[in-house]
Amino acid sequence: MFAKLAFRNIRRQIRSYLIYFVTIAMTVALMFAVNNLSYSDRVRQLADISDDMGTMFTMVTILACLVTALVLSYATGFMLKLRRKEFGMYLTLGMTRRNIQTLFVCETWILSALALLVGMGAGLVLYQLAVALFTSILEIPFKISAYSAKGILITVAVSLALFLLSSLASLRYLKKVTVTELLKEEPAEKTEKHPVLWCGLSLVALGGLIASLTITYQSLMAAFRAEESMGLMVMLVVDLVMVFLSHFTLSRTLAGLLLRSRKMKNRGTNTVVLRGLSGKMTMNSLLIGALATLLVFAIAMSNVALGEKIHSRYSLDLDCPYDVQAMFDLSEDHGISMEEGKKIIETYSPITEEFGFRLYTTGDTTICSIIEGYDVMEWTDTFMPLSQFNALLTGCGREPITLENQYLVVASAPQICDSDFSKKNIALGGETYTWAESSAGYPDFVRKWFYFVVPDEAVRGMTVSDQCAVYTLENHRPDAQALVDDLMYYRETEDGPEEASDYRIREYYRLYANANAGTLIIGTLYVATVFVCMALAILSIKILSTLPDERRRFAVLYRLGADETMQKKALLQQTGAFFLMPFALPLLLTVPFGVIFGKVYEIWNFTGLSGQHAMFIALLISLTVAGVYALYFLITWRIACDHVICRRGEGELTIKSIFISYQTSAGSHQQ
Amino acid sequence: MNPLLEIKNVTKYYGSGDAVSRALNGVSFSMAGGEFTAIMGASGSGKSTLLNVIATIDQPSAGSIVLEGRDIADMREQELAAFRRDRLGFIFQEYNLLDTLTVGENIVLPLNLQKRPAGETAERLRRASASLEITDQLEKFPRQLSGGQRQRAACARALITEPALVLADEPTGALDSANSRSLMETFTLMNQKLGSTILMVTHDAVVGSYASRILFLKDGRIWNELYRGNRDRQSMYHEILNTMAVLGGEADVR
Repeated sequence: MFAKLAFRNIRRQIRSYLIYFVTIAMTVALMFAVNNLSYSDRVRQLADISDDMGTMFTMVTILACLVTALVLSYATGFMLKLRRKEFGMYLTLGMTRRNIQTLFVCETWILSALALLVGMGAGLVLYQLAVALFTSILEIPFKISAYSAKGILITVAVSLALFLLSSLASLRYLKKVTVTELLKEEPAEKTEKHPVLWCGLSLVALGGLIASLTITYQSLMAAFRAEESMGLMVMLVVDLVMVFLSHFTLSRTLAGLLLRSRKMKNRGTNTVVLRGLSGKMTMNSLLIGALATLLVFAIAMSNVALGEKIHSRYSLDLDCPYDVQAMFDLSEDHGISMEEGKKIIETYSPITEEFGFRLYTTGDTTICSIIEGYDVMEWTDTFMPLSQFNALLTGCGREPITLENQYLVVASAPQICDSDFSKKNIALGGETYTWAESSAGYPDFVRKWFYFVVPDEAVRGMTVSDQCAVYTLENHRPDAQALVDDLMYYRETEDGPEEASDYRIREYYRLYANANAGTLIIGTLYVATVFVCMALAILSIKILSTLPDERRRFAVLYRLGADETMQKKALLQQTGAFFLMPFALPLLLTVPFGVIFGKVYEIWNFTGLSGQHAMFIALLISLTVAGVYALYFLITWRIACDHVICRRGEGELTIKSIFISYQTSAGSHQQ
Repeated sequence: MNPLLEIKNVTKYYGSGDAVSRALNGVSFSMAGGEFTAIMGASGSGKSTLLNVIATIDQPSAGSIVLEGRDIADMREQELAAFRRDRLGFIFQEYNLLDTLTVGENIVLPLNLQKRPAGETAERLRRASASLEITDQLEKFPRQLSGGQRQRAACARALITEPALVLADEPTGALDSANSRSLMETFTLMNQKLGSTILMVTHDAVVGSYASRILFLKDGRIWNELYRGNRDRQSMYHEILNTMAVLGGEADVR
């Protein structure tokens, strides 16, 4: 009997349940796709270079589950409160609490089961899209991937656990709530009484946000230069707190302040819009703050993820410019000689070009003593002749350089370039060489923190420290994992044998970077999508929950002479401003994100990659989020219009019934 | 002299097919400017339907409604909204003040919809609130007022645009007898001192006795009509009770 009644109730209230249903279905679809991706054998094969993938996906799933659990509990609670009068009526008519609990749980479980099915169906497609995205990031051809039984089971189990959790919260409410509480009217949303005070607090919060963003920017820059930074993680948390506080205070301020302007109030339906908005925003200021924080987090994470992909693409040319690079430190023993190594490489692909070169040392620390911590790192002055450096540069498509009685500091980390070499002249072979420049922007030909490029004659008489070679292969993409394994040997150390290799394989670097970028992008896009959808679902639910009240207000407006256009405009302003409140600042924050990434590219000397690329990514993410936002908003506004706007001919039947319900409402207010 | 409101053969049907019901059946009457008319009748007699079609919220199935020489049937939706805004004032049974607005904001809402300048709005608010003695209540929210005060605020809102016709739908329906009496004295003041033309629907014989003319509706038709003439309110009240007794109606006696 309850199942039948529950089905009928769902059919009757399908509109109220729609957002709830869509939210659950979408979450299940996303969870399904990520779990399948995480447990798919094919994807694991593709990304077995990255050990972090499984951990990363597990972490994002847990995070998204927590947020989903909160939203589901909230949405179920909303559905419960929307119908509490109905339940109060059932109780007064003699239904037991157990009956009502069974009915409500039946309804939510029927709906959740349907959403689970729809979500899994959508997940089947979404998973293949995720695989397509993943393979495109890994730069390998796409083919349909099999679904993972474990991934499907985990999705079902987690979804059921989340449904159970939200049902338990509802059952608890229905067990404790009294009939009077169920039947009494919700008080009207009260507008903020002290907008000026809150305006002051908003200004303080906004000032705090600007200050914390500035400090974070400086900390970030310092961190990228590997300097001491003021607790970057702490600052990021402070930023999020300031975003929350700014929105919390602003939502209690804006409409209230506008209401103080008599000119503004006297125009059309402005008073109704602003009063409604002020009440809504004051009542929901905590929620608005929380949603804005979630959105900032989502947008920032998406920027970081896409930035990482671009970074990995450009850093490959810097980290490993040749297909294979060999570097033999002559002071150590090597399990595989350079000749043996070459033969191994040739079993994977013929070598088309080869260039051997050497690094030299004086054994002194005259120049490197300028760098702080050189003694701890046990660095000595190491030199590369200019002709070999230029040959390496031209070999990877770069312009050669010239040095006239000068030396060049080539570093792999930007902080080394910050050391002041300008007053340091070096005397080699009877000549004195002055400092030309320090740069971390040259490709990494040798695995050294830094070395000095000097004219060829300067290295005469020096000891060879490293024998190096670079190879260009006919097949630029050999079986990288196997080649790395074949070139690896065990070296005896004080702590026992450890893996060692004197080779760097570009293809292995590429796969590793792509797998990491892919994992990060899919993971963050998943979390960001869940966050954005949850935020939108909550906003929609909030708007829809106030429709019966709005309907009564707009019926009065209609009688007083507000035509359909005027009503629509008022509803659009009210709904739009409420929707925009937690969204505007996060969207604006994409500008500083773009600036920060641009600066990072500049610090890392990514040739051809400018701040414009960073701004483009930021803009792309903003537009995507804005698009999803607009879609959700339009659906909500459309539903709101259908419910709220009064037209002629609806008069007798609709408006009259609205007024009758209004009388009941006002009557209980009076009491 | 041309009448302010002229209703000619207004008929209203609801439903379709076999389930058609006739709420109004060729109602005709007219009202002059400054008149205070009450419509009385049993439940389902068509009182509220008549008020709704005059209020332009509902469309008559046949007949014409002419206010200040303009036939409402000829107007488009937007014109009707402007017509309601500029020429009609409404007072409802449950006040229908917006709970989120202060009393002052509620009263000036029709002027805001007309986009009147702020100075004029403030001056009209001052005058309306003074005549209805609610100047002290303007900054309060409706929930902070008594029923009688709320209804006076609703009267102020209905009058602030100086409408051609004030429509009142069971205005005392939610009030006790003392507040009902007070409100009807306010209506008398609106009619006699401010010159408002009022068309009021009521069940209550006492309330009806304040009007200068009463139309009795039965089964969607005007069944009888009473004019106060030189009668005092008490004898008008007895006359209404007698008429209602013949009508077989449900007049409230307080």
